[in-house]
Amino acid sequence: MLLSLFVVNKSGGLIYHRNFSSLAKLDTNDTLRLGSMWHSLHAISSQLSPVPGCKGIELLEAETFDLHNFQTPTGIKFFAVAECKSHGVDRFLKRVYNLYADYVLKNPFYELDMPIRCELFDLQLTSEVTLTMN
Amino acid sequence: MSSKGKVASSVAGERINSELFTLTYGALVRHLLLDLESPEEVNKQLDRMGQNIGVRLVDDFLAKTNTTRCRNFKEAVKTIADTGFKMFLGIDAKVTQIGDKECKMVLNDNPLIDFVELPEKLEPLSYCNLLCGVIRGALEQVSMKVEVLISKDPLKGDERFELHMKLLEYINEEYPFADD
Amino acid sequence: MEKQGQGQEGRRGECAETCFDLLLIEMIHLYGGRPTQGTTTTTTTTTTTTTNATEATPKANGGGVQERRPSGAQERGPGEAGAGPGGGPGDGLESMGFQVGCQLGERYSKSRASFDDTLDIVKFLCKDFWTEVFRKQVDNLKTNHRGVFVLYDSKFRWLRSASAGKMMGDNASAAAVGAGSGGQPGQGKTTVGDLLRFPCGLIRGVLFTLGIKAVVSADVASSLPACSFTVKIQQQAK
Repeated sequence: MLLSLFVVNKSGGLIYHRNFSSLAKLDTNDTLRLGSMWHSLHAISSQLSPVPGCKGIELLEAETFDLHNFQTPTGIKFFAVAECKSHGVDRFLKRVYNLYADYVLKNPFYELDMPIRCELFDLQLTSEVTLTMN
Repeated sequence: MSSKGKVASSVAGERINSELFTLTYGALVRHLLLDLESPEEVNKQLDRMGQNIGVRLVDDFLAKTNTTRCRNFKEAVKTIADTGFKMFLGIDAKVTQIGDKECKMVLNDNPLIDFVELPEKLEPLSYCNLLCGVIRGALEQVSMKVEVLISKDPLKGDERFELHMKLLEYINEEYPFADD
Repeated sequence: MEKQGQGQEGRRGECAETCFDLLLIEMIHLYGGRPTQGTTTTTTTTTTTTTNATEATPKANGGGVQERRPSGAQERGPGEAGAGPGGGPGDGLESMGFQVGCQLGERYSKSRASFDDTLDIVKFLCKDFWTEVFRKQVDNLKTNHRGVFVLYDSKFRWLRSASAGKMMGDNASAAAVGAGSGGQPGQGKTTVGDLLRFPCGLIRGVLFTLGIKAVVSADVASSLPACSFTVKIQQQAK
């Protein structure tokens, strides 16, 4: 089960966040801070790798949740917090990337790298979440 | 390769008759020629607009093709030729003379120049300059700084349309804790 | 750029709609974002008398194409920007739409033998042309029988990715690191009106090619993908 979704631009700025459960309770400032810290942590993880070409953390398993991270080759991070051992989260993140390409990047009002405030993206995301949860 | 082509057109999303795109581009070029002082300025503007398009287009491409990474120039160029052109413009492109830092790309067809004839006084106009910008903008997003020029142009009497691409540098991925 | 009117109709190549969408966005960023009157786009035809000769023959073949296109271009010469009665701000989009409309109107009406009257032409616009370009018909066509037509489209294709939810609020700055890499050339905020200028011109161009001079404006209906175009006929088809 999905708990929340974050989208971080390539400079580490949080451009989208949404909770899918009442469990997750973070205020806006926290999400901004955590988003950019995750960006840094992710960068550190790829630096830690002794093997070249490491793409950084893809999955973080904790006792109470899993964090799935999908980084696009253009440097945008889509990451979701889900209950342990949730299925289909990676596929979900790729679908969100598709929605981003269609409803954010093709929205004439959207300025690149800025916070995403697009109704259509919200709507499409909602139905994608429903699909993933069932 | 043919399978890649098929994949490309099936995942590309909605297809349209390229007439609308071609004619709209024509209207834009014509309008820029009226608005700006010289064909050289128009070239620059087209290149800029192309870059902005490329920056957005690359995510569309990556999201739809599930391409996870283009590690190097050669790989990226081949992806553009094999999949990119097919997917977006519905045409085949071929990479020739490929090296680590330079290559030529030949387009078998170019919908942008359908219906176009360049009058002599517009000789300096690089009608398809948008394409150069698109490729540059797209590759910049995946950490490659390139230079793209039109090396052969049917509008100027060449038989085929050809792009010359040159890798300037790999942009290092930002590591937020560089020592200084 | 001379357009070759003849001999090119065979090509029915396809491209991804994304290409067109992104090109249009760039055009809007370049030519839009200038002050308009709310969400309404109004443009006036500024046809000169010299164009009457060509438009008197709504259906022409081959050769007529050549003549009519330049006339469409003359309609808004470089000096005219902002000067003529219709030269409102940012009408670049409208006049580019007009040019494309003239060309597409010509192409898509080739298979038609002739048109009976103005209504027939407007119906062609709402059905055949709309289907070619927007893949659906206009949902509702109203007229006052005195030269005003209102075309309502409940899901206007070129608005399908547009979310009006005003971007970039004030509290956005915190998360907005690294802006500027996009490098938008826009001079100001894009408005819904900007998005509709190109299609307004397109419609005016189609009608013009088929012998009708009209003024076209657009309004966004209650919610975004829906919009309506008001066509005021100034001179009927002969």
